[in-house]
Amino acid sequence: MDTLLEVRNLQTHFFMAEGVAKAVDSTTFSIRRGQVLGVVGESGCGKSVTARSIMRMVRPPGHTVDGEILYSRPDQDGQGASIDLLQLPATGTEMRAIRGGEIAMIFQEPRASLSPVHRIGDQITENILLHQEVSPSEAEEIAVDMLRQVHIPLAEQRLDAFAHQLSGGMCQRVMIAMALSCHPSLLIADEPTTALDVTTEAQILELMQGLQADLHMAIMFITHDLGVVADMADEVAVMYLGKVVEQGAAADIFRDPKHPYTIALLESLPRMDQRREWLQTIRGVVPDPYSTLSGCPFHPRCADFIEGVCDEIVPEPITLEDGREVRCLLYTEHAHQERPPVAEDASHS
Amino acid sequence: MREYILRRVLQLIPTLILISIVSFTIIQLPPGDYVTTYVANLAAAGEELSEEEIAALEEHYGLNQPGYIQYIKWITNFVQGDMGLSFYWDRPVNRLIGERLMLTMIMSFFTLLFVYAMAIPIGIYSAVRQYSLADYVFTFIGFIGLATPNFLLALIFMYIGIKVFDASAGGLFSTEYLDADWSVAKVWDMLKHMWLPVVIVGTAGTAGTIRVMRATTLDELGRPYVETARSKGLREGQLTMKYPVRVALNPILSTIGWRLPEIVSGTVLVALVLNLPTTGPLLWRALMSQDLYLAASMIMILSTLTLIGTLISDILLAWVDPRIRYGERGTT
Repeated sequence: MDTLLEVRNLQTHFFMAEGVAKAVDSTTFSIRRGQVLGVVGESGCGKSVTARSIMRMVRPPGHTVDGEILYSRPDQDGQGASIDLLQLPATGTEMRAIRGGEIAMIFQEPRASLSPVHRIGDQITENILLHQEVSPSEAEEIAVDMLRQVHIPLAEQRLDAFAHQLSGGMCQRVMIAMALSCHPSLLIADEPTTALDVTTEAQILELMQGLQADLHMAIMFITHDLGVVADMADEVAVMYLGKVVEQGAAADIFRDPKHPYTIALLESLPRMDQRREWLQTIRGVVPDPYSTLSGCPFHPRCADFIEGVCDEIVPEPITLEDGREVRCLLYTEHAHQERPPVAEDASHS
Repeated sequence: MREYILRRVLQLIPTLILISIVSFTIIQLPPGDYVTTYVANLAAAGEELSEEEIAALEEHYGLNQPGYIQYIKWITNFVQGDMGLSFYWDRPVNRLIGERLMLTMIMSFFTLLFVYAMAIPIGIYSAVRQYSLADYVFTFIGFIGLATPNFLLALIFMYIGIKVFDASAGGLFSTEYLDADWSVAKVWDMLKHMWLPVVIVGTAGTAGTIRVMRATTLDELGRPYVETARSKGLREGQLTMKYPVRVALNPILSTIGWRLPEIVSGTVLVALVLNLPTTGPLLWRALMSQDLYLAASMIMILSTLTLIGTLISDILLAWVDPRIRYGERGTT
């Protein structure tokens, strides 16, 4: 299966008066064509900023300072040419053609994501007219068709509705219809169901799964809900403090998590098959984004912390036998050394 | 929408009645009336009036009757278009106000136009390029504009006008047109004179509106729907004008109604300094001399204009904002 998007060493920093917040700090992961990648992590771990970096929509004081975002154009003739999105001007013609046309995005607050003063139909057709060579009336037909595909009843009438006249779930359906109206090859969904109630959430997830299969697009599904990821994703990337600490097939990660953070996350889930007085928690809190930790960023909270190793050496991604990538020193030779000599330490940094 | 407008128009009636009572009472609140002021002025000039003469004056002006009778007389005539007699000028209020009111309204209109034409683009620019050099420059100028009293600005302009251009900056007409009948040439002459008072009176409003426009636009720029528009691949300028600016204009539209009385009362000092034939100086003198019917009528007219202005901005707001038009805000 070929790679659609490859993010390498992405660094997006926010230059604030308080200091530099490294929201995304050398993140590396990839998305395959037609597959769902679930990106999980706590609030503030850089999931949304990663998504906006891919879209080239990071606003000042945020800046993507380094890295590569290799996007392979969906060419049918043999090899797809791959371009580095970070090399394109963020507001240039080429990037704007990709944004909304080839990579679309939906957001956390469905109603707030729609304009309060423009009609639904106007907002959907706008996207179609931007990226397709069609007349306004044809665009309207496509819009109605899309609204039907996301199961909105009375689609024609809904074109004239305003966001405040629709429920949150309906608004998210409209957002999905809008995002998919140009058949993007990648849909970035930034916590699309977080603001919805569980019943609506289930419906939206089901809808997204159906559309994903029909349209054969890839989805980058950002969430902090591991249950949703288990339900939706083919692959999972776990983020902590701006880094992907583990990426692999969803089944593998849930069955046999490798990174101590992933292990701790999964252990903190309530489970039906175990009776427990207390839920497991991860000790400590996420450090504030301005601090610079030496070594592995997870070491102050890690259960398997090795003194003199984890707080000194920055782990690099390692590929395990099952194709999984883990950023953890436990899976390197360092774990077997009692205390590495200082001189040797320099070679690993 | 039609029902909404009708409801708003009907709501005007009780408000207007209340305002008429209040404006009439307020003018009578200071001790004494026109006759006592008149007598005091004469006494200061060394002329004494006898009791009979004073009583005759009060009788003449109807000031010996109880307040509510005076009010009822005045308001009945007012509704029929007769605003009574000015004591001070000894002329009908209608004739005194007529042309001045028209000139005031023309000036207010141009001032509003000036304020919005300057403030809205600058406000948007300042928001989009927040903390840029231009933003700081506009902010600086804006605060100076806000902090400088209008009449001082008028004096400065007059000084510059006389010193540099050797021309008087006062008045709305050249001498040859002062008492002339209305003609195209007179209108042109008026427009040539009007830009200066318009700029002077509009400066504070412009500065304030820039701040409002900048703040509301900044507020909207960070909203999720702007991000949605950006994620569609719209051009930056296009999406800024279509989405956040469109929403940010709402508070500007809804305050048009308050702008009118602000301009009218704000012009009093400027009009005195620049010798403008507007309502401001007339109202000021009427209040000073307790010229009951003139003052009450003018306050009444200004209040009515304010209410109409508010009505217009409410209708405008309902027209541009569907959330208000449909009389409900969506459930969350």
